Amino acid sequence: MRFRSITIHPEVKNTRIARQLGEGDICGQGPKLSDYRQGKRHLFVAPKRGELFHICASLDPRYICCSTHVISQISNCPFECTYCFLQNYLTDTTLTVVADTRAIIKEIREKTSLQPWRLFRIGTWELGDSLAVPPLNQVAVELVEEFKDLKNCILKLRTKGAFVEPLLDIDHGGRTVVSWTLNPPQVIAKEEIGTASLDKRLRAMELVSMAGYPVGLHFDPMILFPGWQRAYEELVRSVFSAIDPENCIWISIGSLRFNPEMKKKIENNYPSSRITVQEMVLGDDNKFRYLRPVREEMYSFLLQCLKEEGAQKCFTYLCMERWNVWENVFGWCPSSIGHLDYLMADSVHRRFPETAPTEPQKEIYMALTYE
Amino acid sequence: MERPSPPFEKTVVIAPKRLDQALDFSRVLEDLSVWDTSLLFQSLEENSILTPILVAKINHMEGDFLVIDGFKRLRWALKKRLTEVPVLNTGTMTRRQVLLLLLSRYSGHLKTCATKALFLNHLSEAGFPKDLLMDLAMKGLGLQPFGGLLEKYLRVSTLPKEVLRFCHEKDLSLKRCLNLTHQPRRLLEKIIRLRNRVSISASLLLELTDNISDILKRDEITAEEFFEKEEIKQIFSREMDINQRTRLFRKTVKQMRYPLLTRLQGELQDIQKDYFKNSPFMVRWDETLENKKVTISASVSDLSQLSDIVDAISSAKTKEGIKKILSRF
Ligand code: SF4
Repeated sequence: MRFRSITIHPEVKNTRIARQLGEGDICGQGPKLSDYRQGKRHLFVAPKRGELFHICASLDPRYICCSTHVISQISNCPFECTYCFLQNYLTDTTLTVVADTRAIIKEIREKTSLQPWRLFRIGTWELGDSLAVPPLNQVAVELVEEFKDLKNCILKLRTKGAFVEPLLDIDHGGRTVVSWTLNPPQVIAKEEIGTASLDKRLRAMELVSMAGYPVGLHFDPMILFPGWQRAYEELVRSVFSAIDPENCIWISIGSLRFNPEMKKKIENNYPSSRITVQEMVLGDDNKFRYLRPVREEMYSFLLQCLKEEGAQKCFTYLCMERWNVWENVFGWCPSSIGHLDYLMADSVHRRFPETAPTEPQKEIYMALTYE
Repeated sequence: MERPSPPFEKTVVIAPKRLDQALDFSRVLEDLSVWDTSLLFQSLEENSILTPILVAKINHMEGDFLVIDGFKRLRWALKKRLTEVPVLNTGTMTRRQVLLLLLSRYSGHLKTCATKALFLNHLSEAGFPKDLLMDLAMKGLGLQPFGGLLEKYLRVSTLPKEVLRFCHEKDLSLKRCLNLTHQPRRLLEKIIRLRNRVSISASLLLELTDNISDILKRDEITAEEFFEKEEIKQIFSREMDINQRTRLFRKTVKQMRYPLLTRLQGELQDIQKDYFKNSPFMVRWDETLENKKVTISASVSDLSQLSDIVDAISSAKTKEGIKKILSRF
């Protein structure tokens, strides 16, 4: 993919990514584009401004949330998923990447050192895709190299792409998880426009797994369509023929959700998409979701497929779901967000000691508060 | 001052055919029933045209004169096939001056989103540049002069005429009007035409169009095919009062849009009937089926009722009924 324009802020013109781009106007600001699709084709390499490290914005105490942390390093995405919330979120739509990794790492180091006992899972995908296209994946390379020395942090790269080559020959120290958002090929073709095909994602997954990275899997958003069971069953089967469940650090499951304004945007931007016409109800967080019994059926089905493929040891959780949904799907539920945070840290510590060498203390996690 | 004050060039008499009506917005307002011309036409019938029609040439344009005031007089003259009308020529005006004049003439009538949208569209089609629309017209209409906002109003102006009339009558906000622009036109027109048979409020219109357009998309059918469905046809063929028909139409559409939710709710209602039909308290649950929670409520007017309620609530039958409801969550 070629960008229509590349703008590099003068303060970051000597950074690795700016040098690798090798072209672009040097200017203090990127183009101002109101159309989010247009913004995907224009790149602005920016310096760090303000704080970028925070807890995931989806956190809502009425739902069980995995309380991951994020760095807002990327804004907008060259891919075009019909369900992407960015179409209703971004005001400045130019694809922006913050290039001064050192400053980002400094902020992370300062903040995470205040809770040295805690395992921080830190993603870069809050407003975009961590590895979407070259040379954007170069910023990820820099982060991977820095994270290997951050003892209580895990870098979470999450993608629907397949550009992993720059990650393969670097020393990651086991502290980076490369994860994929996964859907059956039918969904990828219709709803995840411009992303890598399933085969390409699986091949990339195989490569990072061979390079020693723990792999994360996100079956989220699961999408309902005629024949979904068979499609998800095949998806799970092909994932575990590409990687060994032992290398899978965690699996998240979630279903399509969007707020009412987003529904209009989706219908407008993607008139041929059918994802908004299923029966959905509005939850307390002002998001439409499939009916709860339907979601439970989907999650339980997927869980069964995962078991059949030997993935029962992988820590599996639901993304932004209610307590009763957990109960109905797993037969148990975490007692709080802190409890889930602890359970994840504990699972990583036991299964991937190189990634999380410190044993997590349950009481301290349980006492955490989340706004 | 860009322009000398009157006296203007003197009144002349010219053929109506030579007058350009491109700026006539009164017709649009008449269509929305905002303006009533019957009295004026009656007066013209009796007195003919007493006040000359105001015309101008914008920036020395070639050709005919542009009418800037007196559109209805001109319309009457054309209808009467008059060969001459009195005209007061204001000479050459800038677009800005004409726009100010139109604003002063019409702004008092432009109170709703629909009329504002139509006025802005009218000006845009008449060739007024965007910056003038934002700087002068939008401000004159009490709107923020933003390009994005102008686009939204222009979008609203594309709604079918009958829908715009509804939006005007119900004084729908920009947000609601915009919502309607996302709905299939044929569907909107069809629903609006049901107005004398179904009592349609603004929120009901949005609910119906939202739900029906989802059904159309899901079932891959047209608006016409939807209204040909047996359950819908029956609602409109049976005799019933308008409120009853409105309730039934709304309910049927909801059931068609949410068949599974309707079924699951029905099952819960059956449990309610079996266990709590004559109870002195009410049992309610989250209708979205999301939250596992049952609400029990009762009202008392006399303290003696209290113990009956407590007994009923703590009975084995109640526990069993509540347990059954909760098991569905
Ligand atoms: S990959 Fe993620 S950020 Fe990119 S378009 Fe899809 S949903 Fe949006």
